[in-house]
Amino acid sequence: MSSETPQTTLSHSLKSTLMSSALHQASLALLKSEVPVGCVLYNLRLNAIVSVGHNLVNATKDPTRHAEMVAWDRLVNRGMASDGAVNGEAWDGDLGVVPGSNPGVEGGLTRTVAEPGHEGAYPDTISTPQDEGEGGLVNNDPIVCVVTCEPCVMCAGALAMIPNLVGVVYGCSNPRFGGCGSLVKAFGGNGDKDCCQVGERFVEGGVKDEEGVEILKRFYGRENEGCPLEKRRRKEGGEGEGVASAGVS
Amino acid sequence: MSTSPSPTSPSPRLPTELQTSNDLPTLLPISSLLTTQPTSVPSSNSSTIYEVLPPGRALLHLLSTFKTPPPPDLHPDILERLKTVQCLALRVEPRDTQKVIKALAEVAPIKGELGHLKRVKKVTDYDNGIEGGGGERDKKKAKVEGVRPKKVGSLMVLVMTKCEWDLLPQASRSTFSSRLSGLGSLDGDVIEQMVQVPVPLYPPATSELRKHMEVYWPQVLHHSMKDGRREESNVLTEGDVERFRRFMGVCESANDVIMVDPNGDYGRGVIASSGKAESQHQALINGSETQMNILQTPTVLAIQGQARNSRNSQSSTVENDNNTDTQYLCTGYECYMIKEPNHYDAMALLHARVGAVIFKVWDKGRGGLGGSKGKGMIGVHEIDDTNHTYRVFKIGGL
Repeated sequence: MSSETPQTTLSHSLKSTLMSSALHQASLALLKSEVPVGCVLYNLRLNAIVSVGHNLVNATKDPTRHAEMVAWDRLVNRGMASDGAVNGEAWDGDLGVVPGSNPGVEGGLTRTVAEPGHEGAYPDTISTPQDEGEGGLVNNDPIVCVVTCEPCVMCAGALAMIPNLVGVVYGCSNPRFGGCGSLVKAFGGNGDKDCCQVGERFVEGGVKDEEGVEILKRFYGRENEGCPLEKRRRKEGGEGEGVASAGVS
Repeated sequence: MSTSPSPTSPSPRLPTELQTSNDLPTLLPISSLLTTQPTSVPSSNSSTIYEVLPPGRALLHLLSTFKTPPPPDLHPDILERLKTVQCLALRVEPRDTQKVIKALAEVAPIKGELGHLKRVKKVTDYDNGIEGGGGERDKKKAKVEGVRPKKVGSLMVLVMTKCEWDLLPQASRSTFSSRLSGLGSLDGDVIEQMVQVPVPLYPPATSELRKHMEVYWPQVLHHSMKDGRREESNVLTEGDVERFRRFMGVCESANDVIMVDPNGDYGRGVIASSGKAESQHQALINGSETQMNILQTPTVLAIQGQARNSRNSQSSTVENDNNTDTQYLCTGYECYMIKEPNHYDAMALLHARVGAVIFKVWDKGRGGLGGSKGKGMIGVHEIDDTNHTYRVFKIGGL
């Protein structure tokens, strides 16, 4: 953990800005027929987004490639899934980066987050996380995870294992898989699931939740091609049913 | 009439391993699940295999073993599913049933909470000359007294819950009474003729549970139970148990997590492994190792190994159209590990759609399959309404 006192809350405007970036990631997932959930990792010391990710379950045939996992692996494994990193292989699949499509964050590059109204105020020089000094971003600095949908039990459990993660901000809740209060409280605590402080960590939901739901509805209006056939038939029951299905983190 | 179990009936003894408390998962010895008993019963506790059951499944197995009344020391979740509610019912002659049901549909339609119950129950009594007599006990008494009982068939028709009746306005009661009076053999004050009966409060989760609770009142078989998948999936063979032990041995030798295709040949059984010792990751958690990604757990690496196999298989399919591999993720595979997975790993296995998880040691601090129940954390395989679930087995002592 950083020697500086961890910031336990983010300003409303900052959360909104970060969630917009996460929603942009979700929209990139939608373009690739992935479940549209996006995530950004925000470094409190640098006041910068240090990694981004969106679901890549269908593209990689890897059920662990949820947005949060992709963002974290991108931060520490230079974009490779853990399996690729261990085996010394570079996963050359599509990592979801569309150069130039996002004014803020792409490809694991660090950019200072601008407050609304100053979106163009990015530094001229951008650097990869690894350039910030050994372990500077990965091991010590306080990180906040901002994700468009409540992390599933797997992702919430993963985030809870990261020692320098100080908070989770999510959009819509995930009643079928949610690990931040819907099904399991991976971070512990007894407070309201939408906003609670657990030790030095905070969990907050409901940020731009309507936009998070809207993009999921756009996806589930059509079929998830990665879902097995028998699971797809179950969704014929009604609109909006099964919003949080396979691949939703 | 009373269908409730006799309070004097001896309660069957519950095996020690089935006596659950709130902070321990429910365990069921595998021997009770076998279609055929293993030829060699393990003598040492260390090789005994238990299934770690979510409460609903535990109920299924227990009820196949025990008759009413249920043992009083069952898990609270199980006891909840065995609850009954007091209802009012009318005894009618079979020839009058249709008329009575039609009238009841108008004045006392079956509502949602009783939707799992059939309207009519067959009752067989014995006319033995004992006033108010009937039922098995009076049949025995009549036999002792030398009276030859006569078998009499009649029907009970469900009216409504006792609670609903108590809240019914007087005017509605009068309407009810006037509508039913005079129907066939129903004469006089119909309200006086109604009797209280206990009926199952909840719909049956399994067909075995339905059989068990039909002692009280017959229930509608839910559509999802008709395919019998749940029952079939409970059956283990001697080969299954032998495979569990064999691959756990492989897992222990490698000190690794392995993914096994239970339908593969011996040599092809292991589909993927993490290639990383569990102890390595433990060192990372403890802080003595800092160079690895903390999320590179052996379990996740094993899942990703299978994903890589699948991607490679897809590539070869594109190159030569002959490959017919249609395996979806890790569907049906068995995952073997030494230590109980935490919630992160356990949910990753659920996303990967494995068929079973087999481990040896509880993780009471962070276990995701019931080991951390003492800390109020539910096991991942116990969560309802997920799009998949898997079975969990523990090898070794409790």
